[in-house]
Amino acid sequence: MRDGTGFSESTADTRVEKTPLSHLSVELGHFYAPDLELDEHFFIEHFRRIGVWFAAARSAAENANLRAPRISTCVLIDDYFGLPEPPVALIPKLVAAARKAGLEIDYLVRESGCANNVAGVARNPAEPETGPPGLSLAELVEARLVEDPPPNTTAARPPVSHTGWLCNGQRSPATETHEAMKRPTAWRPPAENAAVNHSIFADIELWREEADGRLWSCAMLAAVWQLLRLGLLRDNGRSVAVPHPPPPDLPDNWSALPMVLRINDRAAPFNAYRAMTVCAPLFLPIENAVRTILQQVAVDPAVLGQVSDRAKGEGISLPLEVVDRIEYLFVDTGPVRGADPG
Amino acid sequence: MLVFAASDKGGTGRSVTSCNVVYRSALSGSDVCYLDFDFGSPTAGSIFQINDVTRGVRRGGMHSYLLEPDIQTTGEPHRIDVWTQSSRASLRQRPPGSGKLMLFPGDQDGGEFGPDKEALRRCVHLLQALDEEFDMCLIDLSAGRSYATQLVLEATADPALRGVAARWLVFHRWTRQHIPAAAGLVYGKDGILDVGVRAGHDKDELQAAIKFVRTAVVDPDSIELSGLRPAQVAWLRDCDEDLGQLAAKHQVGRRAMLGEVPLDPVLQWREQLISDNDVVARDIANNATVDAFDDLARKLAADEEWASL
Amino acid sequence: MLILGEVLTAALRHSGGMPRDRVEDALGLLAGERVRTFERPISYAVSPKTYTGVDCRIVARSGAKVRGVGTLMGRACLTGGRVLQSSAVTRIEPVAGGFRQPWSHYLARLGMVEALGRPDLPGTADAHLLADRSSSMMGMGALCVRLLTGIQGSPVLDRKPPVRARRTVLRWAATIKDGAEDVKWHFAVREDGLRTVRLELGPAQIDDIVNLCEDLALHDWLLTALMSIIEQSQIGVEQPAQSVVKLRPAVDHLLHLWMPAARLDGFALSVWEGLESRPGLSRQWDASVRRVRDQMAMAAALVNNRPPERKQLFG
Ligand SMILES: Nc1ncnc2c1ncn2[C@@H]1O[C@H](COP(=O)(O)OP(=O)(O)OP(=O)(O)O)[C@@H](O)[C@H]1O
Ligand SMILES: [Mg+2]
Repeated sequence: MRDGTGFSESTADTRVEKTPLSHLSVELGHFYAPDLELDEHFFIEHFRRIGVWFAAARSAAENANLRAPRISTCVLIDDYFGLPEPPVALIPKLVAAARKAGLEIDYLVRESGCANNVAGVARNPAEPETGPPGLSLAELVEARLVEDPPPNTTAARPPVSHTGWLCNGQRSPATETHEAMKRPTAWRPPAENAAVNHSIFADIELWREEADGRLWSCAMLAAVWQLLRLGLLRDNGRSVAVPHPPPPDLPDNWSALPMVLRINDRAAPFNAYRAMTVCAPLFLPIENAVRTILQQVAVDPAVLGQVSDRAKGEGISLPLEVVDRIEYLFVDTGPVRGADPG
Repeated sequence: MLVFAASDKGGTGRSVTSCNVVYRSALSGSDVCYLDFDFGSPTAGSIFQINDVTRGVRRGGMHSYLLEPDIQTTGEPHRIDVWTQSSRASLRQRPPGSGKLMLFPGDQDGGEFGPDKEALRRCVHLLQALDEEFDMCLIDLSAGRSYATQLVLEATADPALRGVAARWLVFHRWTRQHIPAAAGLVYGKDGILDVGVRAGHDKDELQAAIKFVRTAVVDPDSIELSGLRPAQVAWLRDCDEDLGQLAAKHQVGRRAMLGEVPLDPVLQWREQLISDNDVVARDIANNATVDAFDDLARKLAADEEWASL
Repeated sequence: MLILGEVLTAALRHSGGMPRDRVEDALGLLAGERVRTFERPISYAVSPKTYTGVDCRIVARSGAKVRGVGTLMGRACLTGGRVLQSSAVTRIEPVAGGFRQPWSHYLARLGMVEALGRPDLPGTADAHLLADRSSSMMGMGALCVRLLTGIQGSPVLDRKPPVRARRTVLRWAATIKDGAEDVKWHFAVREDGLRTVRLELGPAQIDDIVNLCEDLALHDWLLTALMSIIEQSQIGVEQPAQSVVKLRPAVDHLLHLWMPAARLDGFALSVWEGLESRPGLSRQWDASVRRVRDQMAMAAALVNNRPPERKQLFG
């Protein structure tokens, strides 16, 4: 039944929760285990170099006619592929280094939170859980992938997503045939679907099945991370990875912490209309992979509509396409090493 | 119910017998269909006497349904209603109370193929959809250790088909060569049981779902042979007894058998359906042959015939 | 504006009723999205919407072709715990220029296919509606089959369909005209279990049109299934006791599901009102139901004279 008539059933609900939104979220660093071992000087230097561009981002926001822009900052800690030193040591080190470089870290986020299901967010026990519990954010995003179809694709083409790979075009076909006594097909090059004259074909590994379960790729987790920052993820209509203040005593163990820690209690909201990432050019291939993935994620239209209505209400123009809400500055941030090989 | 028709050797009478069994089931009121999974040489169209489809259809047959999903915009394979499409007049009069009789033809230029994951998935979907509609789906497989056989063994092990009865008929002629060959197809290395177990079937359950059918059997005592000299009949009887022992030794004996079809003069000459008209009005086919088909159709559907030991 | 859709209808492969959480498992096509369920006036559950990308020819009746790029919406619903349906829907939007945009462009406009060039929209509607069952515009049929078959294979089902029937296909095309005041519609029953609906109406929500077409497909399927059960029961040829055995699945599983326009309002109601006067679906349904009940009553009366058989028939 419709709204406005006299009868409704709660199990028929389609509402989605709102999350508070900043104008801009600026990522001040995405740190992998090899870099996290380094001493304070490395981080001070890192934040000092980034600070220049952070200031530029702030004045750009002010130039866009925002009287008091709400800007929040965040850093992402890789506790998924590597094992950084315990929170009790690392968090104060990072926060202090940023301060010394004139920056404030508002939110500190654990990357493994994108891959493992987010526990510890107390839900209202009066409202029954709907849907299968225990999904990770990465699974939520994976479910929303709608593959970019090559030319001459009808809906009859079976989804090829069970492979763990996602591309932006057509792969080079396999050259051996399955059929007995049929001639093998000749080699053909891969092709990008939206190619301009020539193809730039990208084939992205999303995950791999390992002996102890699925291992998500760095690109996939980074795509999840960007969507999370943009406030576009929901689990059965509920917000996910809501920020929490750190516990009074920091634990030794990363998994004991909520996924998103609000380090600065006067911070603007974690989620934002737009997201900016300032990082070393080393990360360009990963971010290209992230964009390839995000171009194929169909965000819930209800959530998109909610966000764009609010933007309109604030007089902000927002690109319709999610991938265009993400901006990058590839700058020299000092001698980063990035992720371990493999 | 799914019924898979297999044989080790070609030319055993697998297709002709299967078509006739399906036809008898339809006459008795069941909704039935026949799937031509003999990818190398799909010929069911000619047995049902569907013009233009005697060697399979040009497009949209079983083969392209499984292998070329992209062009099948409906997600459904081509089907032919035998009651309306057969060129044989006596078939076109669908008797009241009879069930559907549908042919899913093969493709003209299909070939044997190594099924990939997608073909397997589509095979599962197909069998699932047809099980929604038909009381019995008979799948005619290529002879021998074929990809088709492997494909359906894997498909029926899929959780989506759990709970759907699947029965196997292994056809063989009543000869010294055919008996061990049929046994080999079922019990031998890389045979149906081997491959089935590898695909995830329970061995005993699968074995209980496999029965043998003897085709073109000569009965030494039949009236057709009454013209034979006593010495010849005696010799035939000896052979028959020998074969009986051979069959028992190879686990193809009476207990593993669902039925036998006598040698029929009409089938000897032509691959076709035997209508009641052929037996009664035209008196060219034998009553015993039709009885044998009826008997097979009945036993196929009778759960007690298939209870595991 | 032109909206095209296709609905596939089948009996759920499950012998009895199912609790709500099982239904939600079966219809949960998209992780993290809710299955919506209703209990009144008839139980009804609908899956979240899913999307599939296409880049293919859109053919008009004249044979003219344009390239269409975008997404089809797919969803599934279950009515009365018995009848399962899947739908494919998209809006055809003509755009100038012949270039395909980056894929994110289309994902920002879900459920829409942009026709590059100058499409012949009325001719496209015709091509969609007049094709026979062996071909389906943009692969909509294949999408419906994939959604429905996926659900039918769900482990929460016992794979025992209450009735054996062929899936029916209903194809529809809705033309929305801003000025239009009343609804024009045409419902056609074609061979091969194919039905078509042509709609012409003023501004309307696509979801409401989908709901209407699914409701039409549902009731057409019920009627088709009931008629075929009655035919196979050979009333008047077989003994009543025999006929009744064959009629029983209809009584157990179908008769209570007839509830036209149960969750519809607005223009959809007026389409149903029209359908009730001609061809008069409910009249045909009521007459068939009466026939079934008469057979049951007669069989019961006969059995009452011969008590031993009673148990076997109604036990
Ligand atoms: N009961 C029978 N009596 C006499 N001839 C028979 C009998 N059954 C089948 N035949 C004949 O045997 C020949 C082979 O039959 P059929 O084509 O059915 O075999 P098949 O096992 O399907 O062969 P293939 O492997 O080539 O598909 C045909 O000519 C057929 O008419
Ligand atoms: Mg054959």
